[in-house]
Amino acid sequence: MSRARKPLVLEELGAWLLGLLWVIPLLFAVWAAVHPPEFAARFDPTAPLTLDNFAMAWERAPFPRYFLNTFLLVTLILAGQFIVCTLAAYAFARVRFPGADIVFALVLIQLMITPDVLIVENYRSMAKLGLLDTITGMGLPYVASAFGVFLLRQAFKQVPRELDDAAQIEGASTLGILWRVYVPVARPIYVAYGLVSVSFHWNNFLWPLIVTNSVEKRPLTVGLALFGAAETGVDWSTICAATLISVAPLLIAFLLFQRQFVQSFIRVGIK
Amino acid sequence: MLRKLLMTAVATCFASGVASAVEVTMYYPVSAGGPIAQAYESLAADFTKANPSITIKPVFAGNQVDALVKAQTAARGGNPPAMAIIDSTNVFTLMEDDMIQPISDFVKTEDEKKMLADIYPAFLANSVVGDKVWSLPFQRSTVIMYYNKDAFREAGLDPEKAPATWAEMAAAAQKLVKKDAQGNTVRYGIEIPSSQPDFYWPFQAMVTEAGGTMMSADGKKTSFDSPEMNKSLNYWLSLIKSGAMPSGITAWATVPTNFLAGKTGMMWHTTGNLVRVNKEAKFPVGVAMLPADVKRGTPVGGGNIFIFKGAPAAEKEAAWQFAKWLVSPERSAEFSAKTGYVAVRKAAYDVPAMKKYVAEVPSALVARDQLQYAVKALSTYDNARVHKALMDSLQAGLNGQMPPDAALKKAQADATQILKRFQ
Amino acid sequence: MIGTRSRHWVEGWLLVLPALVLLVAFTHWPVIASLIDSLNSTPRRGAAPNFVGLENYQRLVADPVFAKVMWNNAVFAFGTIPTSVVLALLMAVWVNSAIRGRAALRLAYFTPTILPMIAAANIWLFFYTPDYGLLDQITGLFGFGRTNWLGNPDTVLWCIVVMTVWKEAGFFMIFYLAALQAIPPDLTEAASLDGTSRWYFFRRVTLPLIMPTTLFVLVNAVINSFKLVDHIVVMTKGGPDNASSLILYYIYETAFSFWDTAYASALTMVLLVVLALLALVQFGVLERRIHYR
Repeated sequence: MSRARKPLVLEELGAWLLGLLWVIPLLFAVWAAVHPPEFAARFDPTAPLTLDNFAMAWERAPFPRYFLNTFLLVTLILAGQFIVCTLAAYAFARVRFPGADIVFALVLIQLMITPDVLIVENYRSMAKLGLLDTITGMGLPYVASAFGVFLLRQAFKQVPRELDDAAQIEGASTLGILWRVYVPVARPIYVAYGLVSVSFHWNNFLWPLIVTNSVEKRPLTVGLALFGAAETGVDWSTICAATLISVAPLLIAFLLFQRQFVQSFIRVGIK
Repeated sequence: MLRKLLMTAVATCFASGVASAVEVTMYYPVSAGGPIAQAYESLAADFTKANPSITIKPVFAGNQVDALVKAQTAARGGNPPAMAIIDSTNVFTLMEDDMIQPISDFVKTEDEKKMLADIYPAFLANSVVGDKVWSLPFQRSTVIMYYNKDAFREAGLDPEKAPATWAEMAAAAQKLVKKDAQGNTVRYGIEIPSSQPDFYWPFQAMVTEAGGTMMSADGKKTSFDSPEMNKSLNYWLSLIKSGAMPSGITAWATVPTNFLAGKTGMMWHTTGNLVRVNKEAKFPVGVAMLPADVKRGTPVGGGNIFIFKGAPAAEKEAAWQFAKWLVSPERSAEFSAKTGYVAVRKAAYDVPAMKKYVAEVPSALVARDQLQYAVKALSTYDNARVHKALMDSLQAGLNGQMPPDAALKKAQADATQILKRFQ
Repeated sequence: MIGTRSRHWVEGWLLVLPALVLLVAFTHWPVIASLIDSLNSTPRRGAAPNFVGLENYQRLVADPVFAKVMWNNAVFAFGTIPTSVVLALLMAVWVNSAIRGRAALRLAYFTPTILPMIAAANIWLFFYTPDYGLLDQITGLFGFGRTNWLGNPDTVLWCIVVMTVWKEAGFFMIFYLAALQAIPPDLTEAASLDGTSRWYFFRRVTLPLIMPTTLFVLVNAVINSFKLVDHIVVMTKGGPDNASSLILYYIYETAFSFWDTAYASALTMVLLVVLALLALVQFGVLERRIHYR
C-alpha cells in the first residue's frame, strides 16, 4: 500500500466524524438493550447493566423457531439457486442450441423486474399452487436467479475449452464435466454469490410477510416486525434487545469474515 | 394407587386416541408477549385440558389490521383459520367476501340463545347485520380517560374529580402543561392517539359526544362532513393550538408510554390497556369516562370472534365450542381481569372472582358503566379503505395542511366514491 | 455431425429448462397477468372479473394518492441517490487512503448494509421518537423542544431519506473501493512526481476512470428506491396522510389491505414500465462496460 496517500488532518477528522455518525444508531440500540427500561433514553454512565431485556424479548417471541425458519429459507433458496443457475449458466456458456439468445434475453429481464415487485400476481399463483404459508412458497420465486445465471456464465466462460474437450474425450458426461471441471473453477464465484444471496434473503421482508401466516413458517424479519407492532405501548428496551437478537448471527458472521464479505460483494457487484 | 394410575393412563390414551383429531387455529391481534397474549395462551391451554378432543392453536398476528390481513390472506389462499379475533368493524368486508359464517348458524339450544341475550347490547351492535349475528363479542373495549393524580395535585386540580365536559377537560389540560426553563414543554395536558390505523376511534368518541353519527346502519353511507364532525375536529385542533396537546401525529403505542413516563397528564386510550397501566405506573392512576359535550359517548371497540366459512365443518364446530366457552361468564371475567378489556356478559360481573377484583380495582368498572353511552364503531363496506380515507383527511386537518371543513369534505367525497358500487 | 447438433439441441434446452420454467412462472407470467388483470375489474363475491378496458388506468390518473406516492418516490430517489453516492465515494477514497484506523472505519461504514431493513427501521424509529429518541435529545441540548419527526408531513419523508442513505452508502462504497483499487498505481505515482494537485488528479483522472462504477451504482440506487419499502411498513405505514407512502407500499396496501387486485395490477404495471425504462438506460449506457455476449 505504498501508493496510498496520506490524507489531510481535516479529512481524517471528517472521516472519523462520519464513522461515528454511522455507528451511533447502533450504539444507541445497544445502550437501550443492556440497560433497564428507565435508562433506555437516559445516558447516565452509572446506569446498571442488565440482560433482562434480552431475556424478556426471548421469552415473548419464539426466536428459535424464527431462526430455524430463516435458516431453512436461505438454505433452500441457496441450494435451489446453485443447482438451477449452474445448469442454465453452463448451457448459455458452452452449449450451442437454437433459441439460446432469446432465452438468455428472457432470463436477463429478471435482473430488472425482480420478484419483489410482482407480489400481487405471485401471491395469487402461490395460492393456486397451495404454497401459501410454506417455506417453499417464500423461496420459490427467487430460485431461478438471473443474477446467478449471469455471474456463473461469466465464470464458466473463463474455463479453457481444452479442459472441457479433454474431459469429453475421456468419456465424461455433461453433468460430470460440469461437476468436475466447471464448478471447481467457479468456486470463488459460488462463495461470493452465496454470501450475497444469504445476506439478501436473511433480510428479505415484504414477500415473506405476504406469504406466511403461521408462527411455524414465520421468518425472523416478519417476527421482528410483529414484535414492534405493540398496541398496548412501546417498550423500547425490549424491542432493541429483540432487534439485536435478530441481527446477531449475520452481524457476528460479518465481523468474523469481514474481508470475505466485502470481497464477495465487490466480486458479485462488479462482474 | 397403581391401579388408579393405570386407569388414568388408559383413560388418557383412550381419550386422545378417540378424538385427538380436531385442531382449531385461532388468529388474534396484539403482538407477542404482554398480558393479552398470555391470557389467550392460558385460556387455550385450559380449554384443551377440559376438552381433550380439541386443541386450540392461538397465533398472534400483529395489530388489529395485521390480524385481519393475515386472516384474509389465509382465507383467500383457501386455508382459512377456523376462527379469528378481528376488529368487529370488518363485518361488512368479510360478509362481502363471503369469508365468514354467521354465528346465528351455530346458535341452536336455549342456553345458547340465553348466552346471546346476556351480552351487552352495545357490544352486539357491530355484529348484527340484517337478521343475523355475524360475530361473537369477546375482546371488547371502549375509549376511556386515564389521568395522573399526582400531576392533577401538582396543577391544583382535584385528583378525585375527573373533568366531565369538553370545556373542563380543555381547562384541566391547560393547567397540566409544564414547561422547563427554556420554555419547552416537558409535560402536556392531554394526549390522544392520532396514528393510523386506529385513531378514527377516539375521534368517533368526540363525534358521538357532540351528538353526531359517522355512518348509516347498513354501512353504505357516511356523514363525514356533518357539523358534529366539524365541531369535533375543531375541538381537537383547539387542544393542539393551546399547547395542551402535542402537534403532529402521535402514535397509538407511544401515548401510553408517554403517560407512564409522566410526559402527559391525561390520555385517551383503550380500556384494554388498564391492567398494564395500573401495573406499570409509578403514580396513582385515575380512570374516568370520557367527558361530555352535549352528552357522554364512546364507540365500542376491539375484537370479535369470527368463524370462517371455508374451514372444515368439524373445526368450525370445535371453534364454536371454544367460542362459547370463552364467552362464558367465568372466562370472560377472567380475561377482563387479566387485561382490562370489558367482560362482554352481564353475568360475568356476578362471578365471585370478578366481584372481588372490581372491589379491589374499581376502575375496571368505568368502561362497563360507560357502555350505556356507547355506539357502534365506524363500520362500512370496503371498511379498510373508508377508514383510511377518513384518517388521511383528518391527519391533513390536524397537521394544518387543510382547513378542517375542507378536510372533512374531502373525506366525505372520498368515502362516497368508495361506497358508490354498493348503492 | 447432425447427431451432435441435435444432442446439443436437446441438452441445451434440458439444462435451461428448470430455470426457464421458474422464470416463466414467477416473472414473465406475473407480468402478463398484471396486464390482463389491470384491464379487468376486481373479482368480487359472486361476480367474475369482467373486461373494463382502461378504467383502472383512468382511476389512476384521477387518484390524488397515486400522484402523491409517485411524487414521494421521486423525492425519495432524488433525496437518497446523490447523497448516498457522493458519501459512498468519499468513504471509499478515505478507506482507500492511509488513514488511521482504516479497518475500523470500513467496518463502521459497511455495517448498516448487513442489517435487515426491518432491524434498521426499528432502531431508527426509536432514534426519531419525540422526547426519548436520540435525535430529540441532541437537539434538546441546543435548546430545541420536542419535534415530532415522523408525525409531521413536512419532515417524515426526509427522515426516511436520511435513514436510507445511512443504510445504503456503505453498500455503494465497496463498489467504489474496488474501482479505486483497480486504478493502476503508476498513474498515481506519475501524478505525484509531476506535482499534480490531488484534487486535479481526482477530477481529471480518478473520476473518469470510475465513471462506469458510478453509472452502475446510480442505476442500482434508482432500482432500489422503487423496491425498498420494508422500513415504511415498520416506521410510518405511509403516513401521515400518505406523506411517506411509496409506490410499492401503495401496491401492497391496495392489494392486501383493500383487496382491490385490479387496481393494484394497474399500479404494478406503472412500476414495471418505470423499471423497464431504467433497464433500457442500463443496457444502453452500460453495455459498453458489461459484456453480455
